[in-house]
Amino acid sequence: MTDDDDGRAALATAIALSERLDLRLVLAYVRDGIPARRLARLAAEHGVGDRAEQRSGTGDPAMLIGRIAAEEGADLIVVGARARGRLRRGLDGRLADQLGSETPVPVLIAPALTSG
Amino acid sequence: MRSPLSVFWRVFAVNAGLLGVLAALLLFSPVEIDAPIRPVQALIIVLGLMLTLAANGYLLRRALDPLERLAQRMETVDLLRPGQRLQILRDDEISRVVIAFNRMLDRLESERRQSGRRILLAQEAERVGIARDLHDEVGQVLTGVLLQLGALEERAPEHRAEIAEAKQTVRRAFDEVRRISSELRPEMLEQLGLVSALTELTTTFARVSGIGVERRFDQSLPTLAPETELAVYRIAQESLTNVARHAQATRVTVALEQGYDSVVLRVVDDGSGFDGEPAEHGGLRSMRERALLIGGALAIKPAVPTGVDVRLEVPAIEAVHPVGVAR
Repeated sequence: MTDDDDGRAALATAIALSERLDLRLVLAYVRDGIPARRLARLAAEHGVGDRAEQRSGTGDPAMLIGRIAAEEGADLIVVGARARGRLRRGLDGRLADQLGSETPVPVLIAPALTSG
Repeated sequence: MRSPLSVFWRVFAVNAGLLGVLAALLLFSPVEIDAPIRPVQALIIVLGLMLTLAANGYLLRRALDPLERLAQRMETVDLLRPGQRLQILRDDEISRVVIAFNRMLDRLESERRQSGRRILLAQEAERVGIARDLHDEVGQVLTGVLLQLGALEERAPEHRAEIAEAKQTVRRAFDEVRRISSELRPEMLEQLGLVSALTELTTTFARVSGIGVERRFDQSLPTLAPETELAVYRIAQESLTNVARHAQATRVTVALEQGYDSVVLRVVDDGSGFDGEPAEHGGLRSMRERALLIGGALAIKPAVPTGVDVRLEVPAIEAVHPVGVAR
């Protein structure tokens, strides 16, 4: 996930799903060079600071997400969708595409938040 | 997106089409080429050439893009982290290479599993052998020494204190031999099951290392295959060894929880942890190897606020799917 509206949308969807299905929630933050405490802050903002497990790393996002999903025995990966413009949608589509090659775990693309 | 045309025919068709248009222009349009060429004519030819090259470039790039990804995947593939496969987007020569590569990964991963299993089985067999030798041979000798000391004690009562001390030392050595041989061969695991074996392991660990251990074992856990139980035990053992060696921890929590069709082992310490990625030394590699062989998922990550959190999820005996794949 990322620290912007798309990341928040993915986070909100993941939290709702994990609550409804009583699933373990692991948040992964794989953007280059951003400290892990951002993730802790985001988790706290959404009220899952003590419930969600947190993983962060730097490197190729798709590869890292795939690796973390495998290590955590994940059943589902939630990523954010880009709502603004065709170009950015294209970029994000690439992450979902790449995840298809990195992991056999299903990928859910969360739609953007409409409010705010 | 699927297209029945192969890369060859797509490139050929574009070239043929563009060359055809140029030829038609030259044949049927009023365009003429004079002996000393005029600027307009030169411009038309150069434009045509550039158009052909641009179309060619675009097409070739699109056609060869999967090759780029294939090369990247070939560089980064890690058999200890299986499941990476390239997707097939088109139906052409390159996708045949991709399919062949994916099949090769299938084969490599399965061979890797088999050879890993053989190595671990051989290792376990050797450990059982060493444990038996230690217990039977060295144990016998030590028992003999104890008996001799006892006899000596009766014959030389003036040295009673020294002999008692020697007997104490021999008994300590005897205990050590028993401890090492039970570490090598977890008999407890075969006889009383995982929970008892882990209880014994953690009790011994706390006594030897002086690190406080908190045990949290769920009362009812799904049944595990013997092979899986051994892997959980060995990974717990290796994690605790790492805690004692590297962590400078004061407390460690060892938990066995019920998962979804699975059992989760957690070993969490409050030590110094690691920076970035943990170094993949021999111990961690063998942990990954064991987890891989039984279809488990192993994560080694920083704990909150400090320390290392080892999480292993293994499939229960009645589980239909490996851990972490949609059920």
